[in-house]
Amino acid sequence: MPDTILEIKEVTKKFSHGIVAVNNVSFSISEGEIFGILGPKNSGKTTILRLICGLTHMTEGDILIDGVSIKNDFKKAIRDVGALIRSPKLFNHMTCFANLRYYANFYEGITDKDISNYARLLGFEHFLKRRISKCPKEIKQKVGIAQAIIHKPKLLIIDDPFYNLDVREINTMSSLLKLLAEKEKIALIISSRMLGEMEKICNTIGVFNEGNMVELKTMIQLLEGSTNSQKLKFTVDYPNFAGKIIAEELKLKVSLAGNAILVYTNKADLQIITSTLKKYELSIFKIEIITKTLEQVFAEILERRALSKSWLS
Amino acid sequence: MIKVFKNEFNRLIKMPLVFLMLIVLLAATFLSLILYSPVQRPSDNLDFGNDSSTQIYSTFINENKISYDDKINQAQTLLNYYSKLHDRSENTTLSLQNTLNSFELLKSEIPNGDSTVLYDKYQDFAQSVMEFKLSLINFAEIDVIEYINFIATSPEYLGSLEDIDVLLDKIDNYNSSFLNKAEAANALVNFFEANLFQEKLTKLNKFSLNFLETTMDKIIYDIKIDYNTYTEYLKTSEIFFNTSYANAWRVSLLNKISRFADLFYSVVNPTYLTIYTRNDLILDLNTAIINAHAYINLTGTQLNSYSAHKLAVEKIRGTNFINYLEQFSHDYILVQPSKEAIESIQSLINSKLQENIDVIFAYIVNFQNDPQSQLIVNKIENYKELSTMAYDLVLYTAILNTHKDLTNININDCYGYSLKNFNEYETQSMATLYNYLIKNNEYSSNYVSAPQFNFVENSPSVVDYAFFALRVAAIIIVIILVVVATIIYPLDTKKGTMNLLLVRPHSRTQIFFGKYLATLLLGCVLFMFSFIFVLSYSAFTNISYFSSIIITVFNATTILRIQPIIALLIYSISLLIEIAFLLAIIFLVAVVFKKSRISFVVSGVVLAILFSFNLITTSNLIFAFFPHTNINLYKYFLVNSSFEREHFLFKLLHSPVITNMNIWLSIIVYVAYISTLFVISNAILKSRDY
Repeated sequence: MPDTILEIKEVTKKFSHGIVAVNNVSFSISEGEIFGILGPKNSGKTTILRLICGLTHMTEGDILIDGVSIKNDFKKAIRDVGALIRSPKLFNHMTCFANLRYYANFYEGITDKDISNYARLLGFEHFLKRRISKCPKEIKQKVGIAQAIIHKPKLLIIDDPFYNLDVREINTMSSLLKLLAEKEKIALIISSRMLGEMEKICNTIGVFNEGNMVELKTMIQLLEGSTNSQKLKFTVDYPNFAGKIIAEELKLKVSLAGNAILVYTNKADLQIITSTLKKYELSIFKIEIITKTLEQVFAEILERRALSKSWLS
Repeated sequence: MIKVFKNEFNRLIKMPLVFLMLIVLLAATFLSLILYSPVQRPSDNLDFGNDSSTQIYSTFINENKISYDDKINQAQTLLNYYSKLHDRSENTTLSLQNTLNSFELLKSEIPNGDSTVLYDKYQDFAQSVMEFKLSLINFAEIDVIEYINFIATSPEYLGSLEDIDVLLDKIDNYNSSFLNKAEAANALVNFFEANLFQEKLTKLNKFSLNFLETTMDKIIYDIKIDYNTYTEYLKTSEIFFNTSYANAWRVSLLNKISRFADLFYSVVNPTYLTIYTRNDLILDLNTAIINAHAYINLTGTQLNSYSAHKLAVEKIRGTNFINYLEQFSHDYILVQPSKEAIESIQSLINSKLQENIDVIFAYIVNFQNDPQSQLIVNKIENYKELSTMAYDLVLYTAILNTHKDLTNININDCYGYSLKNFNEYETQSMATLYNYLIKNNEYSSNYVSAPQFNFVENSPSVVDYAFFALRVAAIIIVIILVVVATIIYPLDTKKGTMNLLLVRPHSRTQIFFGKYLATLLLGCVLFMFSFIFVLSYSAFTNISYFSSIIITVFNATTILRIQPIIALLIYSISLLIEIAFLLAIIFLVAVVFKKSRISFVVSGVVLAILFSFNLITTSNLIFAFFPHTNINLYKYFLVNSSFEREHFLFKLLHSPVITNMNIWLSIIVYVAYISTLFVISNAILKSRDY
């Protein structure tokens, strides 16, 4: 059982102008886990990240980082946190190395060698002696991440890691984040609107809407969903006939799609369906399990939310 | 906090702008030095505008091929030039040397009388040189004796009776000791005796008599006179006694001396002894006794030569003086009773005293019976009053017009003028300063005073420009720090630099303080560069000025003597305190108005408001930026640093530090200001959500 790194206990943040940015949110993250935060605009994504960093003071609740409350012992708690909120503001006139050295000096015992090691890990060791103003965006982003992990934090918070990056750079970035979680055993919290990338890297997803956390599931749970949320696609020689058989004999919901049939069921029924089809000597060319993308799930959740809200009102 | 401070400072000095800032700062400092330098080079049509040119000019005079007529003309021009330099109160050492060189040369080449025109010209030149030297005496730059010797070696200087008058006035007003004056007068007597200028000699004798009279008067009325001065006075009278020319004059002189001795013992000496006993008990007994012996011996020697008074020997036996002496010893023994003390007092009274005391008191009796004596006593009373007011004021006013002719002062005018202005603080401090300088024979055009920043008068104090340049540098530094604290190095929340800082294991207070200290240190470092720059400029341009001492007046009464370099240091420290205060304001603004551009504008406005407020209260453009440096802070440090160890407690109790609460107040207020600003900024910063 991996250790719990971050524990958020019923945290509420009310701003002075009456807006509840975060409302009674609780969740926890363990070592090596990548936690993705999803949500539409102004749903409290960034606020929760800022609360964890101590940039914003919470109204109620508590946040424990590796068992230390940031309320009681801020310095000790924040020692284990690395953060990159928004794109990094580095000092353009200084080299990458000097920038990192500057941030490293806030901690004790970080040598120049450590800095170059991290640069190698993140793959920008050739840019170390170059000024920030002459580096490409990707490198800047990497330096930004390097400054956040230079002190070997247990928790890394990144707000929008793919912001302003092109496709190739996004790929490198996501593999990098995965690497950090797996190799360095860092717990990561990421918030981004690039749902495709989030789907690739996150272990757990929390969906925020209007300050509330409306969903908290692992990625597998979220995508595969409950029993009735799965589709099986069978490509057979007589799709009409096959559909009829399955609908009648197995009492499942079936629809036609060209020369294939779509069966709405779960994986467990796969064996029964194939044996039924074989019984009638129908040949099966291809079986596909059709899962939803994170994007669809996200849209569904928000839709459901909106519906229930309108129904309530 | 120290970690944050170190880190921030490291980063600050790596800014590419720092170099630019330094250049701007040094340029501004240099410009202010140039603009406000007291050394104004002559800008006339003279083609030898600097010292090296005068050297060339001197060699021109030394050249053989040039006609004597031309040489005299050129020498005259050179002399005029030196006079101009001198009017601008430049250093005249070199000028004088060059003039004398050319003069000596011309003297050695005096034409053989066949060309009367040339000889007349030479006479004129000699006269101008004399006048020039005379004007130098006004500034005490050359010695009167030196001048008289100069006359003595210049037989062609024929001089009129009026010249003698002027010269005697010079000697009289010569800011030197009485002994020096006497020697000068003596030298003059010798010169005229040797050359048999009968008419002039008579005049001189009269002068000597008057001079001695005033000298003695001074001794009498100056009650606190010490032994050394007294000895000097007596030697003065001795000189006159020995060099007196006419017999009649000698008799009147003797008369004078005897009266003096009489007054001394009847009025001054007992009073003096009383004061001496009460105030300076720390002085050891032996010194007191030796002094007493010496008084008696010296006076006795003088009196012995005046045989008439020996007649009165029997008439006095152990009267007033012995009483005083006994009183003195009694007082002394009370304080510090010892066998030796008593014995030495006894032996003094019994032995040494007896020989001369008869002579002394004989004359006292005579004096008391003399109807003239009552008049003298009255005169003393009148003169005492006058001397406390008029004499000081006259001297003060005389020096106030230093660059005018010292001799043409109407005493009544001075008196009226001084009364009109005497109540003003500034005038009073200046009067105190000048009086102090004159009394200590330290007055010269070379002295330097406290910073005045006086643009109106064309003769600023010599180190004024250094203070001025430092002040300008401080203003530039404040502007730089506004830029650094608000734009380059913001506590800005919108841009995101603060986000990266606040997630470090340091509290917000530590980060705030660290940043403040780092910025302040940057200011200090920049200031240090200016300081060194100003110092080296001063060293290269005015070495003689910087080796002299600043004498400044505090509270119109306390005189402080201080090295220019230390004064500059103290001044810099007080400037830095004010910079720290302004920086605290800028940081508060930066914290309140999150965005860097807004806080830049606002801090500019706040500083402008402060500036204009100070401008109203001080009504001085230069004071307005750092008002407290000149009013309280600087002087506070100055007073504190000028304490002498041995009388520390005494001085402390009577020092303006204790008596003037404003100093304490200003320091307390500054500390309070800065800490309040910190508390407010910190509270805002802590409660803020980023």
